[in-house]
Amino acid sequence: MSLSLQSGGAASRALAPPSTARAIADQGNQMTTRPITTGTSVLGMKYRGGVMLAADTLVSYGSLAKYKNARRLLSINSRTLIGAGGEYSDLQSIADLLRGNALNDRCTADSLYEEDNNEECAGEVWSYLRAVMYQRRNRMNPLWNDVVVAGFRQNPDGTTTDSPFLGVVDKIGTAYEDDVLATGFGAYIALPLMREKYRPDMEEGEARALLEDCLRILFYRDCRALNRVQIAKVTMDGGVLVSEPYELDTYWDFKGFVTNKGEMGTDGGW
Amino acid sequence: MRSAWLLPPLTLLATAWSSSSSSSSSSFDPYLLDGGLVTAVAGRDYALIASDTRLTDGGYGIRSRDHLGGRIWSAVSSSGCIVDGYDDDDDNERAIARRRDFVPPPVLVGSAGCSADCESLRRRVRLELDALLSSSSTSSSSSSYYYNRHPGGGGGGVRSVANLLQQVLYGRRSFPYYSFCVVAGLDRARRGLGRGRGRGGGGGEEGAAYVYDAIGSYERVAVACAGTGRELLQPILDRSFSPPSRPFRGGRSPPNSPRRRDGTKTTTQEEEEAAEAAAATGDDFDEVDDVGGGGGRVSARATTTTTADVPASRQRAGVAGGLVSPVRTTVDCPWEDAVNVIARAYASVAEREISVGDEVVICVILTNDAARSKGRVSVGGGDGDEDEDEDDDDDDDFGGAVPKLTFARPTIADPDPPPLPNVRPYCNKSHDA
Repeated sequence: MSLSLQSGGAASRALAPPSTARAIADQGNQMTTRPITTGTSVLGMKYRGGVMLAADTLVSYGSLAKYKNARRLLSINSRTLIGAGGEYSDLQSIADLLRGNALNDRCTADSLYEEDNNEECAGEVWSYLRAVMYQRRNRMNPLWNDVVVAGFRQNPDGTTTDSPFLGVVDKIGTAYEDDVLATGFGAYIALPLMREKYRPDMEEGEARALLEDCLRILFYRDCRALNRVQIAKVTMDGGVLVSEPYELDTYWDFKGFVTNKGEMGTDGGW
Repeated sequence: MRSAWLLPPLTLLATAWSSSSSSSSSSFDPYLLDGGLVTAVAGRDYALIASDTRLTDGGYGIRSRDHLGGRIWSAVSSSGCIVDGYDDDDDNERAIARRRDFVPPPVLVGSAGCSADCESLRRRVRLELDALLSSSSTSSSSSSYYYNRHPGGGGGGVRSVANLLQQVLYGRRSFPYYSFCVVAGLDRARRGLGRGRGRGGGGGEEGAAYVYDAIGSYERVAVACAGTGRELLQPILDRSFSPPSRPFRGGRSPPNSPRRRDGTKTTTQEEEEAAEAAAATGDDFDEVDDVGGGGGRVSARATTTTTADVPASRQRAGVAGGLVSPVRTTVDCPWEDAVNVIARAYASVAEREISVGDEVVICVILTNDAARSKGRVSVGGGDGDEDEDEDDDDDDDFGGAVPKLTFARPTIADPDPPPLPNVRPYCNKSHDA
């Protein structure tokens, strides 16, 4: 398993002091300065029997809603799921890296039988990703993403526990786990709602309804969101399932949306 | 030598490393200060680390109310002391095997600042210590200065870790770990075997605490904190854990002094009061000092008096062979009082500092004697939230000190915090109705 997500030859060597950084930049190797094609929030929540992620399928090009069917929830192996907002090309890069590792694990497994599953569990993927993101930030060339990792924890012998795992890694390598998570705009708008309604023994339908509600509310209020969404889940017996994109119904006749707040004939509030 | 040197603002550091092609509009900032306030207290027979569990997004958002991973951690991963939630690099078998051979008191580190750096620092320090420990075979500990086979327990364990942490932090001087740390552990007591034992020191161990800045400048202290809200918390701790200054002495025993359960003063307390009386009336220092005891007595005094009370001419080599610091390096109160003080101090800071809040986790490392003298030690998670198990069963298997880890998790939102038993406010008159 190699931390091979390097940006180029010169930059992949040891920590570049400032003068070298400038020299590298002049040679044409660029450091990431800002994201270009971006995805917005990813929501994650544990429920009884699994973990669920939700995200819309929009990748924006600045203020242009350019790609409306982009997949931001991806399975890594049969028991790990990731979802990411931020720079979409970096997400594709991360997915290539993690799936490459997963393929490597499958090819070098001791046994071909599925029971002896030596695939990485979500906790391992999360931990590994933290190291990758941190190394990239040390080189001042980050992968500009907030990546949510969902799955289950692993027993020391490699079997999967029934204890769900949900963690997130951001672009400088901050890593933490929780029962409910949201990245980007979702952290401000959806997370309070999810935290309010979350219970450890939620049924899948309940969890899904809550996440869809949150995605709908994000569509109302996040300029870079879309009502075309995807839901994905990891369960003990079912493995990883990622839904096809579908549209959410939206309702625009709320009194709060329609009535003027300010008395000057214009919309004075929100 | 106070660690008062502040790092330059984050923007300065960030722009130092931005490539020339990036404009000043948006450059990538490798740091994000996401909160955390950690505290370490060294007592006569215990050491304590506390932290809040809030992780912010650098601004007003709360990322997690239950973040402990990079915030309080054990310096040695296989000491049988599992503090953080995902210490899954420990093979249980190996941990038990290590405990059979050596029982080092755990050294706990608290780090706050940029949690990405704190997590990396945690891994780096553990890597260094693991490499060190595995390079010295388990059968011959003579070369291993960390593990110590003396029945009295760990030797320079915490001091070694403290020094190592400095080296690791300074090694990144050009791109610092934005991680302000405290270290707490049990150290060989520098008191002599004569008087001055009081309630602690029977096993020859006392608490040790160190505080750092982000590039490794550190010092040993009795109580210190680090992280956001440090300016609010440190004065409270300074006051709560110090004996009173002269004007308040007037016949009253100092707060936080240890008392026996029947209310009588301990030997230490009496001699402290005698010392205060002597110092206040300007008596010669030597009259209070017993002739016998020599260096040991000076050590005992040094841990309970301020710098002003120990003139330079009186500082002599301590038991350990080095100069004894004239600065207090242990507090006098029992660990329960310390826990109470800290819990309430954190509640106060949480009122005013937005990055501090949610829960406080307090880990106490007790020496064997302190644990036994209590008659009861609560072992295991206070609320059952943590599933870490201490080596409570191993106490009888080893001759060495098996420090007990107790977790106290008072929630900051507790509306009725328990009253402080042995602590009296200085200005109680102004609080009376």
